Amino acid sequence: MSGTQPDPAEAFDAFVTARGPALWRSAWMLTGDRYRAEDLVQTALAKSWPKFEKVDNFEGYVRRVMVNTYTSWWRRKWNGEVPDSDAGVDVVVPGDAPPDPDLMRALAELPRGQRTVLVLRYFEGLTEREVADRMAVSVGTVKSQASRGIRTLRNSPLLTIQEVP
Amino acid sequence: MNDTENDLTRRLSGSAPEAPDATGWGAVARSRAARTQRLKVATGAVGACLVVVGAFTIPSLVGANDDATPDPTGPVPTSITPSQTATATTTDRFPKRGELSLPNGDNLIGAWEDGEVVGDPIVLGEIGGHQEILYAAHRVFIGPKTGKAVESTYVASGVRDGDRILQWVAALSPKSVEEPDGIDLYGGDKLPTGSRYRLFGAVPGDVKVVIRGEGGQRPVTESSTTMLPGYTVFYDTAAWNAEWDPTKLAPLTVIAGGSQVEVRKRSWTG
Repeated sequence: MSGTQPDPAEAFDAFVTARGPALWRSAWMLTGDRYRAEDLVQTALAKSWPKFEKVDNFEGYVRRVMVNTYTSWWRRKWNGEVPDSDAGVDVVVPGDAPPDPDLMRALAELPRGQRTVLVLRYFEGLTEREVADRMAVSVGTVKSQASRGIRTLRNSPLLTIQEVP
Repeated sequence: MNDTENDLTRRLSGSAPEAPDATGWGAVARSRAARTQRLKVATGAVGACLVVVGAFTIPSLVGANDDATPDPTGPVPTSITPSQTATATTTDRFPKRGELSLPNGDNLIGAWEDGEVVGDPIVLGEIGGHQEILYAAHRVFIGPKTGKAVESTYVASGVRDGDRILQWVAALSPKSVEEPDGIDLYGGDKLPTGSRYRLFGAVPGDVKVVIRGEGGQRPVTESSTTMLPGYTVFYDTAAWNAEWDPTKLAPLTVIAGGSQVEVRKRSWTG
């Protein structure tokens, strides 16, 4: 038996290298902007690193921190200074054009909570219970937010979501 | 799932662009956490979390600008003499990245303040011989595409370096708050080393601000009516209760001017 413990820093770096892109994609779906997505991921990783060896499901922990951080940014056009008025503000566009820009624009117009629920439920594929745990809300809230979000998307002039027969 | 949900799942799955290579992100995150911890020691547990924001947010956002690149050697001199009339104008959407070396070898990373400081700052503590302050500033940004001026007035934290300020985070934008009570909050999360939280806030008018938690209520740590005209700006710091969920903000309520808001519902963090 070697008795050599894996270096936590190396293990953390390996985790981030392997799972960073997946975390970034989820962050991008939430923020719609590559720089904010990277900032969100890095913020969550920095907050989570002290817990790396202390939690069983570290990726789940990072993703929970990421959602909470994102939710806390809801009132900011970027996570800092906000113009007193919107006059003359340049439109923020993603660094990379998404394959489905109409969907992203429609998603961006949803209230932050509805958008978060839809991303977690239908992009990450979580169950309603898992979404509720991630967001620290009730299952009922997840259901109602998802229902409202889908209804809004269905009625959005930007896109057509298939109607239920 | 029904057909609508399946259609949404299919479209969302194909919507995210290709993710960047994450090699090196782990080291940066660890470095950021370590820097935060060192600064916490240096500041006596006062608000190291804000350095995290500056160290990461600003470079990322500068990168998002059309033509700006990180420029640690190009600070914009900023008077910290209170001024209520002068206005700094810039065509840069975001302040320039900046670094400040401390005697112990640590570097503080943030952005050089290029707005005009308004009113009297609150001194929060000291880091490596530099005052850490909470201050208000006014900034005018000229959109390079629109040519239109966008004004912003914000309350930020940072450190003094002679006649300039290294900004860590523009935490509050009191004039852009949409809620009827006008209360703006930043922070309230557990500091990385785990023993305290820190909260910044601004409330319209000259009001008494108190914090209510499980142990009753008390005045905030410090408040000022001379930092930003028309507002009471405050900060509060106290021990983090070990029973609180560390992934959420502190379960506290801010009471000010006849209104009360929960930190978890109103505040934000970076």
